[in-house]
This record gives sequence, structure tokens and C-alpha cells, in this order.
Amino acid sequence: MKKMEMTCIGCPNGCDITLTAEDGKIIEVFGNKCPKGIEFAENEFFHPMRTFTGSMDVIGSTEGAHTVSCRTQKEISKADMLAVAAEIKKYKIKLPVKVGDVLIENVCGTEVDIVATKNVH
Amino acid sequence: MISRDLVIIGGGPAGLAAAVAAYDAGLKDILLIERDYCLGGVLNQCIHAGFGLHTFKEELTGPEYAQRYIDMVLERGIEYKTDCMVISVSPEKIVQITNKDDGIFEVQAKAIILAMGCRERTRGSLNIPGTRPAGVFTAGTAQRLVNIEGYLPGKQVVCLGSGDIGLIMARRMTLEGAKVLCVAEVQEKSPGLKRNIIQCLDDFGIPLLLRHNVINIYGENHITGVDVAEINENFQPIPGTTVHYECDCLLLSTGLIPENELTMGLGAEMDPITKGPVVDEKFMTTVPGVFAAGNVQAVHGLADDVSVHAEIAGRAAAEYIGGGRQ
Repeated sequence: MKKMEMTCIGCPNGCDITLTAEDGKIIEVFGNKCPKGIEFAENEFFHPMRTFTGSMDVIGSTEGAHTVSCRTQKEISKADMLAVAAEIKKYKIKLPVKVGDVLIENVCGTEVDIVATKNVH
Repeated sequence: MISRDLVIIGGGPAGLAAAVAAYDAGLKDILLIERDYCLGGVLNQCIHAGFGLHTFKEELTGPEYAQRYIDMVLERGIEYKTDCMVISVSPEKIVQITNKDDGIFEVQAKAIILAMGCRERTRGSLNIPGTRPAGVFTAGTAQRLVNIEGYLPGKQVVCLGSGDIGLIMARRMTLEGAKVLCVAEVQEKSPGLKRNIIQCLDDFGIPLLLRHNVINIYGENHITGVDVAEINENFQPIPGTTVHYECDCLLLSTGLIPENELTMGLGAEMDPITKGPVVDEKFMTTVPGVFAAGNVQAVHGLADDVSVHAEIAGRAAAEYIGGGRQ
């Protein structure tokens, strides 16, 4: 039997969750106030996931903007966060861009795209 | 003099939500005033996710959350002016504004919503001993430098205070390639959200030192280091616990205070607890027809809560004008 204590990061409630596992299988997830907590706990146990957010340099802004904020469209493996952060520094984004525009496809082989989170022109 | 039914001061989360709510309650003659070159306020630099879970039932970043409201303002054709600084607001509801093109001009309003947000406490309000070098920033200033201007303010970072902006910036600086040596917090418990301690500090192995304070700052032109010590229940440093950190940046995340200059100039009664104006259940200040929405009224933990409160203020302003209440 293995017990794992964790705090859910799904929302500001921050539920304290206890996960019990045996032989690599989850037996019980306890303490979550919503279904998101179960998904979070399972991921934390097998493969922790995070949403990456950052900013990228832009060229040719007509409004004087230096950066466009961006995110991974879905969560990526927590272990890939620093690699993604370093990768996006290599690009300069041509404007204009809108919220949701794909800036990098399949970033660092995660099969997740980097998308813009701001309208910049 | 120009006149408008409703003037809203500040185009951040509070001002945007108030404008939309007032419009939807039947008020069409609205002017929204923003100091920056674009709408959205502080949300533009809050590029992390965690917004909108209550309002939109999905996790958005700050700019995405702002854009939802900006789109609502645009769809309704609500008039707004950017690059405008409000100099004063009078109890007669005359708003004095200045910008590059028009110089100083005045707008007579029937109702006003104050939505100027809040400010960060600075080094000056903390009384940290030591020299006064460059490289000491509030976390919000650093956030703007990194996320909007594209500058990294330091590579070896100590953070004092574990408010949410400090936690968010500890992660942000780490992702940008800086080393965050520690986050010192004078309280026994961090005022930041637990989820931020997990995903911003624990994920990157950044130590959180509870009941610790920065007790000295070193450096002639630029900061070269700080002393961090454990403190007792009277917030006094405990001898023998001092650790010196070499750093080129000190971030301060030690609390927010409502932005009160206009509110106090207006003569509204202030609340010593919230540090914002005294308001009634509809967010009207003691000056009839002047409302306060969002962080200018009291510092909120979540942008979603700001939106909810600002909507109440927006509807109340529409009701105030519609009902001809004096």
C-alpha cells in the first residue's frame, strides 16, 4: 500500500487529496470536492501534467508591442516545462496574431501546440 | 463640456465588467477611460492560467479572460478612450482627464464608477535596512517587465513575500532561465493560494522560508545580495539565523493597497480595514452616484470575484441614473 498526499491545483479551492495505491494501481482517491480532483490525483500518480504559459518576442508590431503571451493548448508533462520554456525563446512571431492562433505546432514533440492568448497587431 | 450618463475610470477587469453590466441594464451613454494603450488592465501581464473558472467554467489566462470582456464591450459599441489619465473627480461628478491629443478636458457625468484597481506595497513601506541599489522590484513591476516589455530583471533572485504575484513570478523567472534562490515570508502561513505554492514553488524546488524576513540589502549601484533571517513572534530577527544570499534581483510581493488618490480627492469616506472607500451593498461610496468596483474598493483574491462585484456596481449605476435618485 502506498499513500500519496497532494493539493489539487485544479481551482483556487486547493483540495487536500489522499491517493492510495497498491501494485501500481489506484485503490482510492479521497478529499476532492469535484471530479477534477480525481483526474488530477491520477495524473500526479502516473504522470504529472501542467499547463505551460509564457511570452514570445514579436516583430513588426504597429501598436508598439514587444511580446505576445502564449500557452500550451492542453496540459503537457510537468517534466517538459523547462524544455518548452527554452524552445519558445528561439522564435520571433510575425504579427498580427489573435487569441487561439497556433504559434508553434507540436512543441518539443509533446503533440501539443503553443497558441497565442492575446490579440497583438 | 462633454457629458455622459456614466463615466467608468479604469479599463481592467472591474471597469470592463461594470461597463457591460451597466449597458445591459439599459444605460447606453457610457464612457470608459483607460490609462494604458489598450484595455484589459493588469490582466494583460497576468499571462498565467487560472482565470475564469467561476465566470466561464474554463481555465483561461489573464489576457484571454480580459479579451472575453473586451469583446463584450466592443460588441455593444461601448465608447472607450485609451492613453487617458484621470487627474481628478469632483463630488459634482466632473471628471478631469488628460491625454496627448486633447490636453486637459472635463466630462460631466451623472454617475461614476471608480475602477482603478490597486497598487503594490514598495520597499519604502517595508523599512528594509541597507543600501538603495537598483534591482529591487515589486513582483508586479517585474511581471510587466518580463511579460510585456520582454526584459528579464535578474538572474539570481530572492523573493520577499509569498503573495500570489510573488509565487507566480518565482515560476515565471525560473522558466525564463533565472535561478530563484528562495521565497521568504514573514507570516507563519503563506497568503498565496495553495495551488500556487505547489505549481510555482514545489514544482521547481524553490524553498519557501516561513517566518523569515530580508533584514539587509547590499550593493552600491546594483543589488549584490541580501541577508535573510528567521524572525520571532514580534517580527524581530533571531540572532544567529542570518543567511547571506548573493543575488542581482530582489522581488517584493508583500501586499496590495487600493489605488486611492482619486477616491480621496473626491472626499469619499475611507474604510480603515479595506483601505478603500466605504461602500453600501451596491458598491456606492458615501458620495451619491459614485460607485467603487473591484480592487479599488477592496483587494480581491480572484479576478472572477472582481467581475461579479463590478457587475453589481454597473447595474446599480444604471438604476441610480434611471431612477433619478439624488
